[in-house]
Amino acid sequence: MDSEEDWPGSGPEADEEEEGEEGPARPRRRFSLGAVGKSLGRFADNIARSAAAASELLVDSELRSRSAALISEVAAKAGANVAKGLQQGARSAAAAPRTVQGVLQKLQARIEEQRLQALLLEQQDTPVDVQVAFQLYEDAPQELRSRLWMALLEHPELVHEYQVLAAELQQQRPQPVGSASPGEARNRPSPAAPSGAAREQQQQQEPQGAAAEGVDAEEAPPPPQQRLGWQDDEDVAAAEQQAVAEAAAQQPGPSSSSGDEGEPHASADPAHLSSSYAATWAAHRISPNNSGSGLGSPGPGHAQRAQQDEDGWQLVSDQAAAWKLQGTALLAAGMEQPPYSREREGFRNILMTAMMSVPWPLPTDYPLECRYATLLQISLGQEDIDDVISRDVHRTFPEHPLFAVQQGQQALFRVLKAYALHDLEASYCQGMAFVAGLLLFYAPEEPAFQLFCRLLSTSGPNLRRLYLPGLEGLKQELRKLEFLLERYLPNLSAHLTANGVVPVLYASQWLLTCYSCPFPVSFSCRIIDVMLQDNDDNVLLKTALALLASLEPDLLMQEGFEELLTSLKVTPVQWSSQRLRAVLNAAVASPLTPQDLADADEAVQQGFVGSLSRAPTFSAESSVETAAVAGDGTGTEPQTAGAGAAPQAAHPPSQPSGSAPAAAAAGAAAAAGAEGSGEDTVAADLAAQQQQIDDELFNMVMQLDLDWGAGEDAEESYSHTLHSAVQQGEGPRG
Amino acid sequence: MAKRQDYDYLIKLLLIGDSGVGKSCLLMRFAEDSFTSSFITTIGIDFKIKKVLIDGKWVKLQIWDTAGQERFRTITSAYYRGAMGILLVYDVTDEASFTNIRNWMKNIEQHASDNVVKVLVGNKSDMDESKRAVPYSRGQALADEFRMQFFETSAKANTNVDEVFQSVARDIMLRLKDTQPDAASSGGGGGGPNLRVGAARPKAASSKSGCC
Repeated sequence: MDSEEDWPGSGPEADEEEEGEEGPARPRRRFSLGAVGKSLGRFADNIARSAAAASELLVDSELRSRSAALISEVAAKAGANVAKGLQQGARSAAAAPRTVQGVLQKLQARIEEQRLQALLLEQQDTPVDVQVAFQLYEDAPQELRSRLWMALLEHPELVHEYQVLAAELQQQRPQPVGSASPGEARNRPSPAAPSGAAREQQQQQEPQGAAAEGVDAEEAPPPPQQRLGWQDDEDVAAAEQQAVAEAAAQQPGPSSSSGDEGEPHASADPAHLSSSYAATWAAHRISPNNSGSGLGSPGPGHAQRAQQDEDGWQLVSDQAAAWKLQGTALLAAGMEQPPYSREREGFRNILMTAMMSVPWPLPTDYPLECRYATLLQISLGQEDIDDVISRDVHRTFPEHPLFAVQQGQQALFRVLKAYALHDLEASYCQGMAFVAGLLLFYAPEEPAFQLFCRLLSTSGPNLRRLYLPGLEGLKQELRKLEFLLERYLPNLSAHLTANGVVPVLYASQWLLTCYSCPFPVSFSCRIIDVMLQDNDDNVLLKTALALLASLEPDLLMQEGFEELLTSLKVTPVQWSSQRLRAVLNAAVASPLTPQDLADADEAVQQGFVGSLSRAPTFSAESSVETAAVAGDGTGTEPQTAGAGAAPQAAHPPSQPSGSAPAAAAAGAAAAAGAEGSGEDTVAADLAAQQQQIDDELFNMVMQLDLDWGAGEDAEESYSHTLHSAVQQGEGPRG
Repeated sequence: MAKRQDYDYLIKLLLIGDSGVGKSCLLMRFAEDSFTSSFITTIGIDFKIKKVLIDGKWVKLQIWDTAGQERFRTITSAYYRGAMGILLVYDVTDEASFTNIRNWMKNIEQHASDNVVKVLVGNKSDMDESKRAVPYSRGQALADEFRMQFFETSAKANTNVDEVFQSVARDIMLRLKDTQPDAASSGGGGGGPNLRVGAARPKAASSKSGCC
């Protein structure tokens, strides 16, 4: 019989007893009614089975009847228990969700906390690019940035020294290029022109490019002082530095060629590092700023990527081509090899020394008598600003572990509030929270506040003006961008304008959040590195131009307001960190001169309104088109360089002889063509035309606004009819 | 262009209201049917597109979202004029944001075209009644005063969000149709459903208006 096989090891009675006790024990399973029901079923099953088994075992009729009575008695008792337990279970089951929910919430909170903690640690370990003076440290430990910012905070004199030095070096900078004319107002685009042209050649003429690369591959390994022809008498210092560097950088890493290149420049650093720090440090590549390696970093060896022409300018080719970084002066600049100089190295060493003497770990407390603490004690009449700021703190880097938690949000709140009290006029403006947040990633609260003050200070980068009520400063900056866009990327400028894509729509965020909307923190922080050291905010516009230059090929292929604007906003977010790095390299080494910026400033002051009030017109584009046609003739885009760098391109300084002279000549001719009227004349013409049509355009801008993204007749008619339509009152179907 | 096949109407809407009332959340809910509490502050202006089917017509809504802080008005007000419909949003738990609606109305009078379709939106209606600062009746009264439609919405709970946008769009469509029925229907007769997004769910949450 089946029941025999199913027997549990124990006797039937024992079984029954066990089952009988299960009733009272049942409430333990109260979390689930289902479980209760299930065990009840099992219980009844067992009783039946026990009864059947007993009847078979006990042949004696008396015994049988007794046992049957016993069984039924036990069963009844157990049944009662079961019913009781079931009731309890039901009650508990009803109460359970709340209990469970509470427990689960606590559990989730703890898991989330741990997740954030892990994420924070992970993020803190993520290597970043740090711009130290003239040099980019790729994939450096984040500590380096903290130290840099602290050193700059504590030694404002270093910032001053850097500025002086940078100005001097900038004057020397064009010297490597034969035909460059130092001191000339527009001389800075010059180095870019040959690079860009040569790179284009290379892109077009692969065999020669490859050959050149081959040569370069052989030349690459020696120290850069020998490789780069224009470098002077630094061999001794370089040798020393290299020795130190090699000692410290035991791990060459995957990109040893990059490392080779970087070591001599960065050699002093490991010497200053604590041993543990040095170990981390050595694991990371260090490479000089603005170099070819900056563009292509991890990937194939430097030698394969970079071509060095006879001037010593290093050009990056294949990857740039893959990215369609076409030959604009704006991008080419990022691929230059900056000249080596003793002064530069000297300065960097001083800065590094200052950085390494920063106490570590950074103390997070601050004296109660400091300004920050004092400001925070003010509470009277601050409810409004408190309210405004607190609305934003949880909407600033909400995904970042540092600001996903109360603690971080409170620190951000305090920094912003202290600033609002410190600067009553600027007070708090949306966008500030992102900048302050960026600082808090790398600096404790009080220094972050000081750094924030410095960034906003009128005697510093003066970001403050962007945030002032009315946002006039921002608007001016956007017009400046418009002006520079016209000068440097005339094709793109015309294209965007024709489609109604104005900078206010895409660049407001860039400027107000220091690019942290929508770019990665590391991108923005390098911009802050530069601003803190330059003590001005020119890099903001330079970055905008570099970004746009990099986007240009994509954007030119698109039509329509929505498509363009979406592409502008979405595409760069998807770029690899290498490409973003390249863009910043280009921004840092931007060919934009102080003169360019001054021109832009002046133009804006004198009423340049940009496309803020410009509608698509043919007249506005005509002069640009002339330049474009000249450029298009060559199949390249020298016209972009042409606007800025025509004088140099007209006398191509020392193109690699034999490598595509035709293309070079064509490029030069194109550039010369653009130059034909003289760039100042062109600019003047543009300005004049603009003035002339401004009034007309001002009226048209209303049209433009009405027709955002339109361009289709149907849409236009909708827009036009709206006024009249609406006037005719509510529709019958309303 | 081929684009015109995608829709019959293009309607441009603008979201305004104080900072933090949930304009971006409303838009996100409507355009992408999602809600997240980890939003970032809207800096400047932004827009999203959504195509919906209203009364058998494909309507492309181009919806502009603006920064709420006062000082951004100098930038955002330039975009009032192009708007056919404006959603004035306040937070039902924030009295000040409701009071400020009058200021926003002044802005509209100044910068928008006279006959722009307006709708008053009290957002965050999912919040606990104890937190509510503006009763439904006050919202309705204000809307009546300015002769506009009124909705209480919750972007979080997805209450009434579609209704608001559909209502505004329908109003605008009717006005367009009335004047230029030909032009209105010339856009391709409902063609291009291949390109639309979700669309067409007019009944979704109509029962929930003024919830809580």
